[in-house]
Amino acid sequence: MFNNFFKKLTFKHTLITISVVFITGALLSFFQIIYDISLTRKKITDDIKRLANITEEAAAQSLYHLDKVQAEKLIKGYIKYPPIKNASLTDNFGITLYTESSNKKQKSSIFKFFFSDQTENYHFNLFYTTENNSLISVGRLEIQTDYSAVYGEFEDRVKFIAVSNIFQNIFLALLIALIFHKSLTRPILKLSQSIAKINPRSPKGNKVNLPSGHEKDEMGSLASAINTILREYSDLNLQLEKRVEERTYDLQQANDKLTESLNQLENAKDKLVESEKMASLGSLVAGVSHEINTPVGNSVTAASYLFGKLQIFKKNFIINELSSKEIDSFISNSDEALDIIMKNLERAAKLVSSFKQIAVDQTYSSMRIFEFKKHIEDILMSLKPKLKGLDIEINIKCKENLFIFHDPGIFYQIFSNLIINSIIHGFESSQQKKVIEIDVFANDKDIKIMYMDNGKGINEKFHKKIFEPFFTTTKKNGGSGLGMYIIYNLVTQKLSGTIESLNSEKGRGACFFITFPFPKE
Amino acid sequence: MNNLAGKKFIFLYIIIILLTFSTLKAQAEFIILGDPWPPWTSENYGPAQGGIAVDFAYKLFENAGIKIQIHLHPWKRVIRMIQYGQADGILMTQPSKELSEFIHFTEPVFSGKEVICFNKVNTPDFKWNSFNDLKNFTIGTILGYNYGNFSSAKENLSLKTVESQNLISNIKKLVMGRIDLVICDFAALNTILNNNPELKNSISISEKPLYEWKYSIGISKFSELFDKREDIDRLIIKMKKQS
Repeated sequence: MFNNFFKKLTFKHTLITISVVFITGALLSFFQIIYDISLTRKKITDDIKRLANITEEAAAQSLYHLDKVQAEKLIKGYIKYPPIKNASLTDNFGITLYTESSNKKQKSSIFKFFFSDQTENYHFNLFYTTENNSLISVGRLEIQTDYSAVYGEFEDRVKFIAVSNIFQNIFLALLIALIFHKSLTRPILKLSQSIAKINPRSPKGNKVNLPSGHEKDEMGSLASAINTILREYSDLNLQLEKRVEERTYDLQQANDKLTESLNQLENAKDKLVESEKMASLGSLVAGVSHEINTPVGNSVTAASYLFGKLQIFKKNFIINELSSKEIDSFISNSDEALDIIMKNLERAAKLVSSFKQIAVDQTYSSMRIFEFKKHIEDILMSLKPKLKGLDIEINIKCKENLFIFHDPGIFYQIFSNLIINSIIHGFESSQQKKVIEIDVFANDKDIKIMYMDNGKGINEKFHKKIFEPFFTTTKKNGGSGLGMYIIYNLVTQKLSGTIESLNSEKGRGACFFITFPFPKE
Repeated sequence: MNNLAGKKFIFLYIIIILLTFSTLKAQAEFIILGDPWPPWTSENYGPAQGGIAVDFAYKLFENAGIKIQIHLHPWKRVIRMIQYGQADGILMTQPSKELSEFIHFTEPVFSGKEVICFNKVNTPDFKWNSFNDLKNFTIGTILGYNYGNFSSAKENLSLKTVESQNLISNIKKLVMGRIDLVICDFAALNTILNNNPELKNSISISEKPLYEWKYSIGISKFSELFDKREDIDRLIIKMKKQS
């Protein structure tokens, strides 16, 4: 209860007011008392001088007559004045006629710290005037004042003022607390209670009640200001809600458009990827066609040659003009032609056999068991048209009989893209011997592939971006920017593995490290 | 130029100093003190304006070739001034042991008597034979005066006395009834009564004197005048013979 009271505004304001009043009052009283003491000291000085002036003649007479009785009466009279501590009459022979000190006890007072002198000495030279108006120096009156009595009085007064101030301040504190409570705290409390009832979620119609009797003062102004703000807040809130609705609608529209665009973009990307794949396939087909064209052409030539020889032979046979020499020659030529045909057709068949599987893998995604090294060799074979004339040495390090169960088309995409990138980017304008190393490490858990070339490498500023879609440094030369993106997606999504570029230093070649879990059937 | 003016100034200064001292020496006078005591002296403080003792002293010292000034001060101050060497002699004083320590008493110059006067309205039947008879009275005396045997009786019998600065003060107190008796010089009292005849209605003098006295001139033993004491004594004797 008291803790709450001490935190209240009434208590704080009362405490501050009373403190200020008390400190100010105490300081003023203190300075007033110091000033009064100074005045009193001056008054005492004036009194002493006046007293000496009044009694000068009597004192001079007592000294002139060396009248100790009269001197004693005078001195005792001086001593009755409280500030006088000691008084003495000394004749002009240096003999003290009478001296007496006050037996008043000296008090130690705090005021002595503010005034350097606790006592003060006064000397009055006395002259006796004879009947013929001649002045005779008869001695001096010496008075010593002691201000401790004065200080004591003022100290008592200070104590009285302090005590009365305390009571006065207690009374004032209660009065001010009451006034503060009635005029400030209570209206503020009512106002705060009224404010607390305001529902910020529905500001419409909210209103702060004006404290009664405070309609025209600051409290009323505050309440009016709050009500004005509430009204404006309500209006603004309505406007805001309306604007939010509008913006939400606009946003929804924009979002829909964006989603549509995104879908279109995704479709476009997929189409692009597919196109890339198809282009790759087309390229494969073109390469294969070109490769097959030679043995088939040779076979056709040999067959045509054989056909021509056969026609001649047949004609001569019909007319029986065949000589044994001609028969032998025909047989020999036929053997040779057939040998050529057979060899070229076997080569074509071998090519077709290799390309067939690659083409199928490319066209149809299907899981099958295949030997990994042979598959890579087939891929290289399919890329032979691309590699022709480039003098690129491709070394494969992979253990034999590494059979895996997976979609082999994925690896065609991966390796063909890597090799084509090495050709286009890595070995571009390279004068040195071009080497590509493909190292495959396999264990029961995973397969690791290290792909390296000795080309110009990848610029560091592009290195992190190479896996982003549509990133290419050869856009003008027809680069789609999807090759590495396709590799990344195939490795991460189809193989559930990772791919990273290990060497980004320019001039030291590109190096990709692919790892993926060993595929289980 | 300046040096010459400075030398002239110093020379002039020395001349003035020498002249001043020589004048002072020539004009050196001995200071003789007394107190207001008509008819022996004048009644006011300061330079004596006449009186029997004053006139005699001037004549005496003139005959001795000694210049004097006579000043009147309260008796106690007179004694103090002699003690402190501020004066050379006392006009009239009774020889006493206390004063003889620093005063040489000349041959007696005057004689008289000390009497007790009383207020005849308040104490009309006053008479006294011994100091014991004074016990119940307040007696007015003069500050610093030596009253011979009375002084010792006052101590022994604890007589109640009130000291005043002079005789006229005591007389006034007596008339006012503030004191009962006043010890005074007979001649001085008569002078006061003659000057103030109205006092005669209230003051009366006891028949028996307190004591009779002889006054001498007192010469300070600290004064140069002390060296001329024998000349002065001889002159006094001579003047007394010549009446």
